Amino acid sequence: MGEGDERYRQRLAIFAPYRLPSSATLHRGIAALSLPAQVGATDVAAQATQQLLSDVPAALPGQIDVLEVDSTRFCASRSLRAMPARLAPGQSIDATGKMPADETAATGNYTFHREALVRVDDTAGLAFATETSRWMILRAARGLVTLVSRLQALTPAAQITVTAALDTSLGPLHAQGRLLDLILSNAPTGIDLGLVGALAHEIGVDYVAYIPADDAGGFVRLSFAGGDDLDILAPDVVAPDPPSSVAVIRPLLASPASLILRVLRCGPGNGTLAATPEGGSGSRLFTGTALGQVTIVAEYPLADGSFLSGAKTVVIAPDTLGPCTVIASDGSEGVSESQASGPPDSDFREAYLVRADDSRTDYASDNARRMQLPLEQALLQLAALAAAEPGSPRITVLSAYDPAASNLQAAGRGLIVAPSNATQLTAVRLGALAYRPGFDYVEMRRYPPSVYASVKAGERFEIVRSPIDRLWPNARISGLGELMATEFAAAGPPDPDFSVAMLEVYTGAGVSLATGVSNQVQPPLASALTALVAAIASDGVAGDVQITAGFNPAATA
Amino acid sequence: MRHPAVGADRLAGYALQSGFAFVQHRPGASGGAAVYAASYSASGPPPDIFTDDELGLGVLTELSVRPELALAGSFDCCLTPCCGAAASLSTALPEPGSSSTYVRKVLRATAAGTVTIDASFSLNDAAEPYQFMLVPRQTDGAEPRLTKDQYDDLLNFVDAYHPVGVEVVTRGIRRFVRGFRRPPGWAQLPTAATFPHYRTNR
Repeated sequence: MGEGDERYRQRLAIFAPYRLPSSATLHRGIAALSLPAQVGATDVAAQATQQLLSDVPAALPGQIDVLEVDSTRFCASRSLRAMPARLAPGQSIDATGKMPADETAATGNYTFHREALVRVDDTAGLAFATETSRWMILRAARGLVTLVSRLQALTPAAQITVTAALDTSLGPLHAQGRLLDLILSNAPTGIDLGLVGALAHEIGVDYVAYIPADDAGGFVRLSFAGGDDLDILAPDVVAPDPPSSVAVIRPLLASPASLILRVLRCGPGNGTLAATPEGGSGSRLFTGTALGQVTIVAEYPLADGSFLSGAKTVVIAPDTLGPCTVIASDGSEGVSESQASGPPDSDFREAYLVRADDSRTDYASDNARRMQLPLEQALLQLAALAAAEPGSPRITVLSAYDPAASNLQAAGRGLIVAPSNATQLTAVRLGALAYRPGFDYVEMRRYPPSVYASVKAGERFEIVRSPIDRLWPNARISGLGELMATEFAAAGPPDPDFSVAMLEVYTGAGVSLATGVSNQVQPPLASALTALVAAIASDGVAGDVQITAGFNPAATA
Repeated sequence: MRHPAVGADRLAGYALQSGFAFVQHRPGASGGAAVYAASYSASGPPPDIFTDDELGLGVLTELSVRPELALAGSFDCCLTPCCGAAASLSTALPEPGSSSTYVRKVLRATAAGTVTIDASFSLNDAAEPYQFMLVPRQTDGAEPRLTKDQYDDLLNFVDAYHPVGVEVVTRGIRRFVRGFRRPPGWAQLPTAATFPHYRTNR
């Protein structure tokens, strides 16, 4: 045929006998046979032959690709963190959930510097057994404070006491202030060290162990990987003006003048750092110069040539948006809606719309509740930001889905929102809040003062979770959802001090008692029964709940 | 307890959502299926430390999708445990008259870690027979340039290795073939007439 050896070899390689007609084979072969012919034809043939005969993915991409003509498919994904409700004595767990956990692997290597130690003071629900137990690295201090805060939210009376932290006599992690031993006191029934261990895992502590009781009683051990050494105090969100103070507040630095602070950019955000008027060497004034996000990085040199470091992310966002302002989520102004949020969905159908029903939001019409899921998610974030403003103001969606609109409202991806009460929240402030969460395009409107906001196309549906709706025959389940629970494990054993005086007569509507059934119940049962009647009624189901057995002093279960 | 308009399976679900501490569906109760439910003591329920994105080990949770797209198609759901997690996904009891497309699932985690649930809804509008196409690879906008030899090799390759029962659409790459004298009606020629078959059955 007059062709060269390489070319002939390539043609033979097409028919290598062992090849299976798989997706990988097709991708590899088509890439190999469509390599760009920028080099000599012989080189291309040799490369193509090599890729054809290889079993690994194509080394060089071809000019042609494979596109499967599959069904239109909408996908959604959701991740849940599975974790124990409490640790049992002897159990340990690392941050990924591995049980039992390897403490060394979970905490990793760390270059310890004594200058990195911070001292933690007593707070509500937190005490220390000794002075040395107050000293630890910053990551441990942050974890401890978060743990105490979570426990306080559950039971303000309970107290955590740190019995050991920095201690060179207790092992390498104690010697670096990376390991805390905790005990619990003044805790009500149901709150114990096992729950504290589970809470510590939930907030992300790298290694948690419940050391079982011996002569002195049990304790929970928390071990931490390294992390930031310097604690930077700065606002999470700043407006471009005025400047905001940025300071390293922990640990105490021997020579604060040596502190190096700089702005690290990643995206359109930008800002500058300047000396404070009072000349404090451990602090600076930060001025945002471009909307977006920056990281403020601090470094402190040590005598051995190493550094302590820390970082803090700061969002630069406007306090208010003036009338007629148009802004995209990346901070660029004057953009078009299609540039910021993309074109309308080419396959849009009304079936894609959800009905928004957030309790913090008012809706001007039924269509104002109809929107696609990504828009609803952005609206929920906006409602939360508005509710965090002074007076917890509400917002009103004036319009959302509008099939006749010329903007993304026609596809359920745009809405107009205004403050419900302009004396509590102004439209210019609401516009600034809308710029922060998930909206991709924000446009201020004047008549009435309101905000038009839209989002890019996103998921068509979401995965939601709920308690079990229907219980199959013979199944037993606890109120927390544990399958095949026993009654006493789920509800607790009979009250040891029970007396008939603890009972009250149930008089709620929607309940009828069979002949001979007592109407006397304990108050918690009355509350649950009332909630049950309300839940059934809210679904529009008529009829009374019929009680066929109730209080019976002779009952065993 | 019973309800004249609500089956015992659903009444048990209502009881769970209403704060009872223990619920049992008793199908063999005297007088017909009934629900036994008990409340917590006066000290209240045990603390629930989990957020909506966390799941206690051994706890059942029902998964559904929102919105349930009112479109013809098929729905799939699968589970991917990660980092040592273990979990099972089973089918929830269906609500009478509910969509047979969107089957609700019950998730139960048995080992700690991260569990990812992936759901997909297909409109079942794929071409028949199943097809794949040869298309330009997404690059910086430069159009592909193929020699006739490359085109011939590509067509022989897909002819030899396309899976049985799958159609390959190659017409879209003809316009990228350069450097040869195109026969009349090149764009409309049957595909088999655009390349020489290296192997022929005898």
